[in-house]
Amino acid sequence: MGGQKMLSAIAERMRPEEEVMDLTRLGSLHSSTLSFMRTLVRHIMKEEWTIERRVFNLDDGGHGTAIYQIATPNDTFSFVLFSEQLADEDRNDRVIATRWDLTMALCEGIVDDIWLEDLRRNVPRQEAGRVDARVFSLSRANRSSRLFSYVLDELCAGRQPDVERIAEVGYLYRTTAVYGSGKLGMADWNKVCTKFPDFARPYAPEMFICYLLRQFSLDQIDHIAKSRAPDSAVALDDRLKRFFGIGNSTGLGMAPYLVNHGELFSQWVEMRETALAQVLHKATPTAWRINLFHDLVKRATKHFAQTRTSDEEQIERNRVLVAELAEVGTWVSNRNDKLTTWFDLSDHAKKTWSLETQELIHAICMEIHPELVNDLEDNCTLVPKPSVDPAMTTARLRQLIEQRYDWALEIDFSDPSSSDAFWYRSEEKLEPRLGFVGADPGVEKQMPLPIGRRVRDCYDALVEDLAAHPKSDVIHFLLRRPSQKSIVRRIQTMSKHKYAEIRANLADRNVRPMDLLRCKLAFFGVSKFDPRSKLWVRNTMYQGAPLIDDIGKTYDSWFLPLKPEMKEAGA
Amino acid sequence: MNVSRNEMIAAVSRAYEGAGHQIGDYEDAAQLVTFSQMCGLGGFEAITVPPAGPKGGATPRLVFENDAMAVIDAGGADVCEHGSLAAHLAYAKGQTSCIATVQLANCRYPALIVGCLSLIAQQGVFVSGYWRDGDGMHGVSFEGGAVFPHYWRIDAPTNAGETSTITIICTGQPALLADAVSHQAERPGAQRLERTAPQIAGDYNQALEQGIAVTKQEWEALNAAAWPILVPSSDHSRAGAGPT
Repeated sequence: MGGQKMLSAIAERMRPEEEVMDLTRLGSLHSSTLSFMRTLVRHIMKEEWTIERRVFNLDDGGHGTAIYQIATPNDTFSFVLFSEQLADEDRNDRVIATRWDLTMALCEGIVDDIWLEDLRRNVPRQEAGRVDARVFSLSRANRSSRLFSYVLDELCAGRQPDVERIAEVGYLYRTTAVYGSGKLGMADWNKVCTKFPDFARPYAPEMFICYLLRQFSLDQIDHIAKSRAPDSAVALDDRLKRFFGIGNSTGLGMAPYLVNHGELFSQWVEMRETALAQVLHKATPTAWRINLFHDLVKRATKHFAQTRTSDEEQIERNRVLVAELAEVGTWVSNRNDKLTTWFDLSDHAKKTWSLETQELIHAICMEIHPELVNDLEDNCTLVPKPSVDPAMTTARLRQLIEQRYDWALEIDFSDPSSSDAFWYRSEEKLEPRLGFVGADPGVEKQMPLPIGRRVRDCYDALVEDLAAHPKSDVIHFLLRRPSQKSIVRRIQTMSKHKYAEIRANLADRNVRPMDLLRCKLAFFGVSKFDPRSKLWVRNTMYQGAPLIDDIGKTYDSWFLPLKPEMKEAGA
Repeated sequence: MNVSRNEMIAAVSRAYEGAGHQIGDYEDAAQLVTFSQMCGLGGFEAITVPPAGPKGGATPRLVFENDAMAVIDAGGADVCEHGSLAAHLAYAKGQTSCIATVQLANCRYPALIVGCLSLIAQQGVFVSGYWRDGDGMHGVSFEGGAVFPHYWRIDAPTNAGETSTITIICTGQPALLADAVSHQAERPGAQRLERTAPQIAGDYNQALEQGIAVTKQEWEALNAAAWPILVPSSDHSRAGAGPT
């Protein structure tokens, strides 16, 4: 399938920018078959990567060093993990923490003893350490205080843990940061994507390190149980192992990325929307596909009924979603053979149901048409090329702003409620934080994230300039107003993309960073969103995904993972 | 120590922002300094750390202009401030004229212009740039569509001032540029250093592969230059980020 050719052929049927780029809708996206974790696991399984535990030097408490060696059709890699004893009171999910239960690195090639010692000196220190360009990704994780001891005690007693207890949490470890793309001395993304085809998709190294972390967590708990109770311990049942994911705790640090990497994010959205347009307009809802759809609606109903969160808003959103899914099933059943395209369903959903339900329907539609969708995974990488078109007339630039940034021009930035939120970097590890004028210091040091306000400033300057120089062009405008260089470059660059900007005022008093986090995490492929405030969210990665021992065998879909049936697995 | 391209871009950007430069200028500084450094043309080594503030004032002065030529007075500003504007002006004029010449006068760090010229060369035009500094005379020329230039330097140490003039020539006609380059470069008997585009590309790729070599002291100084844009932390501000 020729990616670009296909993109242009379907372009007219894709959803409009103003609909797709609305932040509330983006904040209602669900993981899909095109999510990065799903793509990665498909490659691992299809290409039958070999993943071996080369070193597993752990003491009875599970502390020590592990190295997993990975062979792909293209290269060899090493996953190096250090497990240390950590007191409960030292466990902290924030970026500002300095110690963790587990720290790890994904490395190029085979790690020898000298390199291992260098990693041992640096990886456990995370941001305070340095690695080199042979390392792709660095991460750390903390034990789930709720679940780890319980599961271990059960295994030691010769029993499988209760699946209901597992479902309450969903993971043994929670990663609190995953670094890549040149941070802390690691390989630059340009190196990874040109030299290592296995990881030449967005966040592939970061997703893979989390996949191996999950595998280690399962291997480690079996190891500790067997060491502690050699006579009575049982190994964790494979069905339960697959139901364990890896926890993730994501705060504000992720939010600026989508704004600062606008071209790349636009590409992700365009890829997803292209897939959706293919399915909605070109796929025939045959009886077989409709049955698949119903199966997934039922699965989704169970999945969201099993999702645990203490956040009142998310509880309500999940409740509405589950209720509406019943209506979706009924509506599709009643249409029977009158359903000629999936667009009929999507169009009805838009008029009838919540954004959560609309976007879940889209994820399900894509799931049942992999033949139209999955090849697009190769279209989500892009080399950003921010550029100025110096010869564009200023009249045309004004028109461009009015057409593509009308949403920004509609905001009244003189109203304090539209401009008194600000994003800044803290002295503590440069952590991004959100402040409010009058309540927090630092507004004069804010990051330039509110694109809408900068566009408004540029537009006002442009209108004034046009009055004095009606026949001018962009380069002369910039020579008169050099302070507008950055935003003009952004406007001209992003306007080349079908889905240009996230349509939200990030300086608004009621800004919802959670929507940015949820959007990005949906592209990653996480499930079980559990917001802990409007600033951070817990979620689960890889729940239901195949284990490394499943590679080379058949495996079940892990879209919308469910609790396994464990009747015969009890002790 | 070695740092990645991504790290250097981020650190230079923060340092220039910390020095008070405007957003478009610190974005440019990050790209230009990193590109020159990776090319082996001494970008990071050329600037002062912490970076100097925006000395040239907000507005470059367009001293002269016709269809094919222009002179911009940078007012003592960094190339990171007005270099990209000069390059874009040369590009725009090169589109409508057979050959365009733009001079950026009275600017600091002229060697950093290479990154600006690379961006416009990548759009398919033939570009050259010339400047003089305390070491001598320098020139770069890009083939149309090229990322990396051919570079030459003629050693002629002088007591050059803090600022220089850069001459940019841009054309869609390679024959015209070849003439211009040969006239500029012909200095029989001069102490001449040359680095070809493949050599420069090799340096760039090696820096990408292994990281960019910097001293620990320089790196720490660069990162320390970001302090003016960071906000002191407090228990209250910690709540504005996530879990406590």
